[in-house]
Amino acid sequence: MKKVKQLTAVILAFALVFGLAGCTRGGAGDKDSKSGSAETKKAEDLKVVMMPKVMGMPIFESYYNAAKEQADELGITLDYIGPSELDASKQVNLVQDLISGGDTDALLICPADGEALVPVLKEAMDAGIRVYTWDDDVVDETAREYFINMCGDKIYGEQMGKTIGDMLEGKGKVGVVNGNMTATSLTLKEEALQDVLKNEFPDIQVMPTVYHGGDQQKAYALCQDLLTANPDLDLIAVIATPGLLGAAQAVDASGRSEVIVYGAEQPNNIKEYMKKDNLNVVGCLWDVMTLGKEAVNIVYSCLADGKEYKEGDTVEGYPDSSVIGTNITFNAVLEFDKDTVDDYNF
Amino acid sequence: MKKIAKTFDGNDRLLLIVFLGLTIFLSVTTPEFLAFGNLMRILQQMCELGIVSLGIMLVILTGGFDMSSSAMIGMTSVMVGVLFKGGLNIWTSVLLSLMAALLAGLFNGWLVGELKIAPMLATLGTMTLYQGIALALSKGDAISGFPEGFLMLGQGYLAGIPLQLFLLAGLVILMSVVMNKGRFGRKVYLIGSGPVGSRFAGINVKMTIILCYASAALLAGLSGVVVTSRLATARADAGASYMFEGVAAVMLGGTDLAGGSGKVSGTIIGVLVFAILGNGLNLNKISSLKRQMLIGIVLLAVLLIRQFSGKLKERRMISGQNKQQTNSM
Repeated sequence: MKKVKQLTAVILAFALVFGLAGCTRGGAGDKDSKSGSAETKKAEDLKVVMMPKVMGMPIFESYYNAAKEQADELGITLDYIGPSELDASKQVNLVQDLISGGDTDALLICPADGEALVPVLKEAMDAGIRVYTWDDDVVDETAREYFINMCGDKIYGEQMGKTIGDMLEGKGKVGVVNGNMTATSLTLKEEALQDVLKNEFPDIQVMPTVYHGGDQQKAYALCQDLLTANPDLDLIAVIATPGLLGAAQAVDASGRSEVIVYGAEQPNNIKEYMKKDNLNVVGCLWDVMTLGKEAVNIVYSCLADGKEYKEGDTVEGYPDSSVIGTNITFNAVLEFDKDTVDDYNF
Repeated sequence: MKKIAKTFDGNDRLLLIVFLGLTIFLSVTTPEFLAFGNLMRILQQMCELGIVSLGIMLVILTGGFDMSSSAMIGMTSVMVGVLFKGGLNIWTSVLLSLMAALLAGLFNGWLVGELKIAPMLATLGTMTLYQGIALALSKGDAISGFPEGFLMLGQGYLAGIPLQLFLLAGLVILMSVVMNKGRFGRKVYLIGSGPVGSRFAGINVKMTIILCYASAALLAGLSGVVVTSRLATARADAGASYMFEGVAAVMLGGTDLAGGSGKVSGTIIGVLVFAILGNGLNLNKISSLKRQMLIGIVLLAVLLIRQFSGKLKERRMISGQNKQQTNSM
């Protein structure tokens, strides 16, 4: 008898725990059978999951805010689920559990690793979940329907390279800070950046790349080391958020205001440092809010309207956008400095 | 021996109740949980943690602590990748990488067993060393492009059952037999209960400790191979969170952190509890951020209950003795 009592107590305890965590799974019994991708569904029934590389990174929060607003307007359900660490195996597990859960219509995912996610995304597609990647992609394009990004990685990297060359007037020493080593998009951006510097600005010396892994504190420490090791450093180029903040902090703390800090960050987050008189901080990103919003729009159009995006198409309302293969891109890099940072709100 | 028998009553019962309670709760509230596919996926996901947890438990039983398990997973993963990319046959790469893990484990054991350095300090040092080796060999990149045959280990199914589960099952059986039937197992428990007494009992403490750390490293290496296969990439940070998760699972499973008592079945159930809990949270779309918190609460609750039931037992025993004395007077 005692065992049964203890068992009941434990079950009730878990009920409390799950209840506090806020799970409500009403109507789980009456699920529709999995239909093929050809069928379109009513807006109110559409359940989309947005999965960032990792939870808690500001840029992804911004993506989600814009996406949620658009989702609410369209009347669809958008859940924001992601791994608590930047760890591909955790993200793979999450996608697997989504497949088990059985009530996801579409997955909008920013893969933590371009290779590791391929098998499980294919599995998801087989299970009837429509998969789209945004911000970063997987290496196998059959693992998802479309890759949605604001501007091609090559274009972004080339722009960065050109701006760096222009800012340094062709001569100087540059330190490069990137995010995580297995991110396809970040790697491609860096390659483009390095190519432009090598080919068009051969007198610029580039230091070996360091990686902050999505951690602002780590970026700070890495930039401090860069500054210490290179007393003649002219510019720190940051390819992935939230590194720019760490770089700006490091340069600020070092007092070496001649070092230009340039790279990826959202205007709101870097505004304070950008406006400091002793710092020269220039941002290079893209309109995060638009990407978040349009990603949801595109997913919705595919599911609810059965839309297909073919080579040469453009996205409605964005004449500069293009569809290259299965990559839907808006071709819009955004650069801003202390004079223009207030124009943006994200 | 007696200590192990006592553990069977309190700890195991609590653990089983937690396990059953969680399973029943999820089955009722989340029907998708019971789907064969979901259960198999849980088993597929937990194998990596299960394998390395066996090794973690083994070292803890000796009264020690191996902080380098996660680093070992990463190092083995990278070695498989680097050797394969260097032109070796994939299985040769795997074998050589496992041998490297074994050597690393022997080194760990030597530091603790021979030089008598405190286990946590020694393995903290080696953890940094192995992480460094992994990063240096991989140059920070992830290596991929493995052959289908190799990927089957981590992603394949045999009759609907994930392949790595067979590996885990085999290791569990092997370890249970070794720990419960063999002389080696008895030596390990005795060393954990009291290293000085064990030495006077004539046990070669040094040798046993070295073997334990070596085995733990080998198990971590195996886990690394499975992770590499499942993710189809060799990474220096593979299994980075598995050390702490493994220790948590081992503690949940009833192994005494001071050494000397703990069962293989407890550890595996501990890993299962965490895997099922994680799965339940994912199925209910509960944010991963809350997940850490909840896992922590579950672990603390079990530990606290164990602590209090232990004290209660002590008090009952003592009051029982007093009663006997007064009666006989």
